[in-house]
Amino acid sequence: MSAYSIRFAPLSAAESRVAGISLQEAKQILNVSSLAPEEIQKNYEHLFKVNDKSLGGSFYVQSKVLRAKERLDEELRIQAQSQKEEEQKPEI
Amino acid sequence: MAEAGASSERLRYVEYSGRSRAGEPDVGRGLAGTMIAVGLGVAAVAFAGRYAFQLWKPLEQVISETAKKISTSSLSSYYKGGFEQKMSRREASLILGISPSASKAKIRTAHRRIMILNHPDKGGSPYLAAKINEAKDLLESSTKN
Repeated sequence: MSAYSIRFAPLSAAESRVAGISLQEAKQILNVSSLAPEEIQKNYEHLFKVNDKSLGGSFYVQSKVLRAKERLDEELRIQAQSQKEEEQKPEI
Repeated sequence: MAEAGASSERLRYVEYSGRSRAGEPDVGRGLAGTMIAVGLGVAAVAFAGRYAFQLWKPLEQVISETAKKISTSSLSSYYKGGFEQKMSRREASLILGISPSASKAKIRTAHRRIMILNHPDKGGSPYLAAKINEAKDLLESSTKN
């Protein structure tokens, strides 16, 4: 590990797990190929609703849908953060 | 008998009088110390409350957000993390929402119900559908009934 990678916030690789779920699995659960916020939100709302326990759905599956959404939200946040850092870097 | 009565009376006297006696100097000091601590506590709460009023606006948002987090996490307590690397019987039974010792008939009924809700043709996720199928296969193969 270089000092550079420790100093800045880690850009998560698709396989690295944050809060016990990897980016790749989160995308698979919500069936999204890119990190488009509208698609994520649409799929999340549908999957969360159909797995409602009071309507005969699986609470466990609903939980995974929620965690996937949280993971993707976190990824978007990390990306926005690193983009901001890019913009703030002085031109050489 | 009388002796026991007299000595217990003496003990009671020490308890109620609260006066320090030889060998028991802590009784009086303890009481005073407690009152000081209570007084300091009240003062601290009062100061905190005063500052809270001054900083109310930004605090309000923090408080409402925390309340939301607490209510959702304690009332619903969603499972954490993603799916297990290798599916266990426990996870399979959770996915289908049945007991790990459920009969084959129950497994099939639960699988159909969960699968209909999550069907890929109806906007469900193929990954979740695969997990649901895997759960059914795992439980069916390992159940004895």
